[in-house]
Amino acid sequence: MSFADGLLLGFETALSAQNLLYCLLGVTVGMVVGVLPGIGHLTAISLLLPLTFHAPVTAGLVMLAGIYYGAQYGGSIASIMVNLPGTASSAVICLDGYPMTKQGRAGAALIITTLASFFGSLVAIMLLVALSPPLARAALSFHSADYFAMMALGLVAAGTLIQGRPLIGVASVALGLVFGIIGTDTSSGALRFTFGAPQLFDGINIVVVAMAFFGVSEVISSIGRPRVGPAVNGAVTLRSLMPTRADLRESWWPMVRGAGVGSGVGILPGAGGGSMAAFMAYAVEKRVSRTPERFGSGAVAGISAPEAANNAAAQAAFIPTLTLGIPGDAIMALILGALLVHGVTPGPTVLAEQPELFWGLAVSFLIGNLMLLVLNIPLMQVWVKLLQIPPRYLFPAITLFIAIGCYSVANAPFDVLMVAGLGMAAYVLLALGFEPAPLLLGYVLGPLIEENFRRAMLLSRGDAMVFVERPISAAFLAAAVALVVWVALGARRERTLRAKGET
Amino acid sequence: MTRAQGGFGRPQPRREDAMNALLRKDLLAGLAALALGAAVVWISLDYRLGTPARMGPGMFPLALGVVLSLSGLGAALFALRSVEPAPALRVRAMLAVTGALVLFALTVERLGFIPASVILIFVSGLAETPVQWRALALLSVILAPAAYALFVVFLGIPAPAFAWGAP
Repeated sequence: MSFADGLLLGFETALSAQNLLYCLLGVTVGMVVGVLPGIGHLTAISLLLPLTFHAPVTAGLVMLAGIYYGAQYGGSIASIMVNLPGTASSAVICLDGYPMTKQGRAGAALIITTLASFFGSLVAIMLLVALSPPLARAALSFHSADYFAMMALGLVAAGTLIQGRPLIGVASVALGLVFGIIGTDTSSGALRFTFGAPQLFDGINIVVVAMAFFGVSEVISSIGRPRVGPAVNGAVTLRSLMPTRADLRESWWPMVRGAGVGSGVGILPGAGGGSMAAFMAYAVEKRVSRTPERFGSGAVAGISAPEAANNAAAQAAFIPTLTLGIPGDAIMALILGALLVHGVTPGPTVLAEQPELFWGLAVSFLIGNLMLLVLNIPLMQVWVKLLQIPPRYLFPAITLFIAIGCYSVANAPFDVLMVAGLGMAAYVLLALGFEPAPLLLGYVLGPLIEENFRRAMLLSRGDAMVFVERPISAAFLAAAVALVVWVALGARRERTLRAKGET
Repeated sequence: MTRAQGGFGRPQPRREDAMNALLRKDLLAGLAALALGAAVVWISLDYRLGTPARMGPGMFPLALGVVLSLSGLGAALFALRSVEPAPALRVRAMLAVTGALVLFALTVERLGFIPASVILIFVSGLAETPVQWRALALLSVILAPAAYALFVVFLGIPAPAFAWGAP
């Protein structure tokens, strides 16, 4: 299919009434949860995951994706207005966004981040449609060994690149992989870890796992957390939203650089997506700036670059997910899980066999970003008002949504019992420092990585050398080993530094 | 933890340190991973391992169990130097939220969708102190019918609104 045909098909798909509706729903929900500091976008996507099973696959994905990038827009509003990041990736926006608010320039900050979000997304969407088809074609020649190595790299990156405790990160991944293989083993038909419960023969549903780790445990740990009522400084009038010419000039190059950094980070599997992209873009800006001392006290470049970066990363993350079937972070893992539930095997064949899925999704990103741009400017006062809702009223509502959502998947009360038990375990494990995102990634990739490993070993007649003899596989595994060594050295240096500091 | 009281009004740092050592966050995390890993290894030994060329269902989980135990052991060993105390669990919130979910599972088919939802809202609301009775009543009146409309009427989940006395 040619590029033009693809785009045409994409517009046709994305502009259907149903997909437009789901897109609007997704970006609006994303915007709201992005603004509310109480709920993260992972929680929101987990909660809405069951709804997508009742919709066609493209519409469901359009909605889930809309929540993701919509939350990137909304997250910066809370950062700018009340110095509380709505999402992890907008934490860095606080550094210069909130000082701008204190200087009475909240309106300018809000409009700059909206424009930067739109710009970053646009760059990454273009990258997505340009890179995905050739990447998918190249991936068609990948063997099981290459897939195994690629997934191994993604899992190693997800487990080790977390803050602080790489060993617990690895344990989280391994535990997730175990959750993933519960049920009937596809190649031998043997039942594993089912403890005789027939409800587990098909494995634990992704909705149950996602809701336990991002819903139940979130609700429990958020209840009763001491909260300071956010004080909103100053009203945001439409007039104050007009950026000055100097602001626009100052944000142009940071936006371009931010979009570049974000796209690069977003493509890497396991790199953690938006928050790392935003922090890297901020660091880059500070380094290239002629006035680095202004960062932290309201520098325009300090909000436009990271904002462009986290949106670019949110869109670019779809490139490996849709072309290779390798999710880069927990959100992509949920999207991949949704695809699997719909019977679509993610990977390079999706582009050839279901072109309307890929192109429709890509064009819906464009439409969704336009919706956000249009929604954002006139509704800015409404979003700012949302910040004043006390999050405590949300918790019984979220709990109800978890219960009904889990029940609705198979009309099985058993799934609700599962989410209660697993949710309690999740809360305790996360309190101890286990990481939910690598765990979910492991859960989704578990059956895939086992299957590819077994197939690769079968094809090589039991010779493990196949993983180093194939150049693609060898490159991925070498990268994984390099990553482990780098993290281990880093952890060791940190320990010696800390030991010196203590004495 | 409460501070040691006795001993002529003097705190007893030594015993307290020993107690805290066992309750450190990283150590508990490592031990949890070790225990889970050991359980996975134990269970997967029941499954056929197979040969490298034709792996049985036991090989992959066995490897996972080993990785899980080793990383847990490593984390526990490194944790001996850490000082971060174990986190305080919110037991009330944990029991209220999971209890609400369990009650929903038990009642949704026996009593119906609406009663189960109302029960869930009130029980999960017990997590907060003081309990916001009026807010919960308001939430029940609005949310239970709204959720019924969305899931049962709109999405077609087969669940009765009320099912008093159904088997």
